[in-house]
Amino acid sequence: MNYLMHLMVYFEIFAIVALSLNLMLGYGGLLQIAHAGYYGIGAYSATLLWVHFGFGFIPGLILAGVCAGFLSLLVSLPARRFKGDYFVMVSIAVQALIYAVLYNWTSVTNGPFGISGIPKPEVLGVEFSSTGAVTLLYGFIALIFIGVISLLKTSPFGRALQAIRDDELAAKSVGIPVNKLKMQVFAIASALVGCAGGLYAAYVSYIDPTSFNLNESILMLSMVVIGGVGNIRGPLLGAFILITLPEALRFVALPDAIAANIRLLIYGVLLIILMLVRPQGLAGNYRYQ
Amino acid sequence: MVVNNDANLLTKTQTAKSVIKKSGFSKLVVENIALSFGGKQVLKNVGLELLPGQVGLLTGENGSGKTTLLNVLSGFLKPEAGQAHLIKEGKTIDILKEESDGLPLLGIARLWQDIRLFHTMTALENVLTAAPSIGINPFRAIFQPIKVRQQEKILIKKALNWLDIMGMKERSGSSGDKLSLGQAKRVAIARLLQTGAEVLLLDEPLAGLDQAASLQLVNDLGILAQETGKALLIVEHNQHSIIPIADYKYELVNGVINTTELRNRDDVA
Amino acid sequence: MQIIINGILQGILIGAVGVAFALVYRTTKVFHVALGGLYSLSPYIFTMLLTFQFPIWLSLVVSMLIISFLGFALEFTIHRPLFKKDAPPEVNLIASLGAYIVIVQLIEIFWGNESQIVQQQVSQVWRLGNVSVAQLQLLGPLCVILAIGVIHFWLKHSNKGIELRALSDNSTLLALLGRNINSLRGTAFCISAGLISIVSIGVAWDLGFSPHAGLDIILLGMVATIIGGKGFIWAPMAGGLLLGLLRAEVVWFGSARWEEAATFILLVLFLFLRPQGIFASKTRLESL
Ligand SMILES: Nc1ncnc2c1ncn2[C@@H]1O[C@H](COP(=O)(O)OP(=O)(O)O)[C@@H](O)[C@H]1O
Ligand SMILES: [Mg+2]
Repeated sequence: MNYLMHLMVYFEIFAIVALSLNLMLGYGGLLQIAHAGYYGIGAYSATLLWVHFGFGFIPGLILAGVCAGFLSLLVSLPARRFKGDYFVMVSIAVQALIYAVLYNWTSVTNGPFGISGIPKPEVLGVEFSSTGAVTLLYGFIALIFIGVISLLKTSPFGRALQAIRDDELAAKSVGIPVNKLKMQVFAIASALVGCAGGLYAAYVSYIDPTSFNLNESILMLSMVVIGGVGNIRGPLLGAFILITLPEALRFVALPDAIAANIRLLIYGVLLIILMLVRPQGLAGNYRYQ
Repeated sequence: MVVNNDANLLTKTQTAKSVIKKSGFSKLVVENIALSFGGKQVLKNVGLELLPGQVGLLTGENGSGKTTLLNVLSGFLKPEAGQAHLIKEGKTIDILKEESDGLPLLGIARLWQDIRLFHTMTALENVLTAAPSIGINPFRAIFQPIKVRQQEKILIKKALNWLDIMGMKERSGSSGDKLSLGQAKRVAIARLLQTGAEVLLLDEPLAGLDQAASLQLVNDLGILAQETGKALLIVEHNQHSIIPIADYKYELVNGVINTTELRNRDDVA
Repeated sequence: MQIIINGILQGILIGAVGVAFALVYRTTKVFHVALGGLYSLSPYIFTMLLTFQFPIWLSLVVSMLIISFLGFALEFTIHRPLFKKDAPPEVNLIASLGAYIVIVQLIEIFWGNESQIVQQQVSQVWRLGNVSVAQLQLLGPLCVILAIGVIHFWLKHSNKGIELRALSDNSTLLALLGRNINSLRGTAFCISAGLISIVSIGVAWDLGFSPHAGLDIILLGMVATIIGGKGFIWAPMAGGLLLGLLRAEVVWFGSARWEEAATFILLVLFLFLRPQGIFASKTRLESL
């Protein structure tokens, strides 16, 4: 039971990760391979705010989101001319830089040894120390984020993004400020994943740079692409698959040594097959242009 | 039959008039535009003028640079020389200094030769994308959802009105990729109108339409210019179809414009 | 001096990876991440052949053929159908990422995920004044330069090579002229894979190999291609040398951990200040 709830917490965190990446890829048309980096920025800033500056859980979390969002602005202000492949390259560069900073700036991040003893979530004086309590709290937070995202999707903002995705030139020609909107969606997505990073840090109470490297970013991207982009159920399905696939594989009684490989292998095969037959993902509705 | 339709449209236009403000701009001036692609001089010295309610016909051989000129005037290409200004409410807007996505709000917008509707959206949503709306700001979309909804209602009314004027109200719920060519063009024009721009650049709006549809659209455009005071610059290869409503004929030959003033537009009025 | 030599040697290898990447990227617009998987795979096949008592040169040739074939197979099974469907670059990139993951995971399943070395033999060291170069360290770059020379010659003088260069300029035009684009695309993937296998085996011979080496080096190759600019050979090589020297300096004066960061800072600087790369093409108006 406890284990199920543990999985549930992970699902809730990754649901936010997937939904935010979907904001970028499915709504903004921005293929980003640095999401784990922003997730890491969120995790580290929240941790530092909680541990060193005595911030409360919620204020620290919000500020962590702000930090990640702010960083995305630093990247996208100059990067607005980078389209397509160049945006991908810039995002890989950003991922590498974030990782290098987390790994090397030992005086602040404690480098490869990571930071431990991160306090459990505490809201209005109530400490959420049991896994069950965290499940509820994180579920609530995830629902708020889902609400915000659906509000955005159905708003004129969402419609303008959809227009950009359909046809960027036509969008410009009707007066939609394309670069600004891309920057905004990038910032919102980064802020959300920054919060998710904070939630992760508070739950596991120990973070180190390896959770935020390029491979993690690739995994996050695969999760969203497999689940599907352009709506809300797609990314949720992706997060669900990411969490449950290892559990499902347990039943097949694979040798321990290769279980992880098989899981990733399935991911790789799924990515290829989906791109060939259903590029919008299992439950997505985004038609790539 | 055509006459019948005209009458029909006229009444529609007149009912719509209450919502439509008369145009606020006073003049579009384009001078000495020059542009070349990789050494090939497409526009050498191009100039033209349009006043509110006027229709300009832009014609010329295939490849003479008509689309290129529209690209310049809508901010998608920057020329090597020349000026283009929109004089509006006493202010002068330098068109060449503006970004393409800022120009529609400033008063100049274009229709694409290949239409470019948003194919995942309905006709109505297509038109709505063009409305300058407060909800395009994500923070207002999140924190002031009610205000955004209220404005949205007004914008939808306006959009339906434009669709109505273009004779497309019944198709407002159809998806962008399910419309016929003629319908798609009309929806695209409604979308253009929703931007609020007063100078409309139309790239070959008649291409691919049959005779009847073509006549009908020309008539509608003529009425539109008269009733709303918008200025239209219409690119058309086959000049005879537009001449009945045009005030000027601008013919692009070897990168230079020959202007002819046309007197016969009283037919429509 | 030692730093510069090391930098140049590393630069040649990075540049060669860049050439392999550019061959595909500039002609087909596919962001060929799976090339990293082929890079990782090459030494495994090579050493396997060695254990079958193949002579070294034969092992090299056979592994090169196998990897080239795999490169072709990637194009044939994944990117060609996507090309026919007119899929956007993102879809190709994600599919290629998928192929990369599959290759690396298969390597780990069959051979484990530890680093390995080709052989124990201690290399002779040449000294020139205060510069010392291990013989083995030179072998890789020499093979690579030879391979690149061959490719250069081929691009300049064979029909296919000339068409391939034309493909990078304008694919629709070439299709209009009735050239078979599919076979050209296949050739590009094939040659690119063949080259990457030589680079990879050259490096593995000196430094050993592991399943994950491919991604890092392919990223370097991409960076070299982009900062190099237009062209198949000189541009990526110049980009690679610049990167190699920079990385050697960073390792020398700073810490090896900032090596990656320095690479990407260089990339970002280039993207800002000179997005067209070292070897710019004649500036063209961005087409609508
Ligand atoms: N983006 C571009 N790059 C290079 N040449 C172009 C570009 N756009 C148009 N041209 C060339 O400029 C000329 C004029 O084209 P265009 O304005 O489309 O003509 P029209 O609309 O009058 O048929 C043509 O010869 C065309 O090939
Ligand atoms: Mg044209």
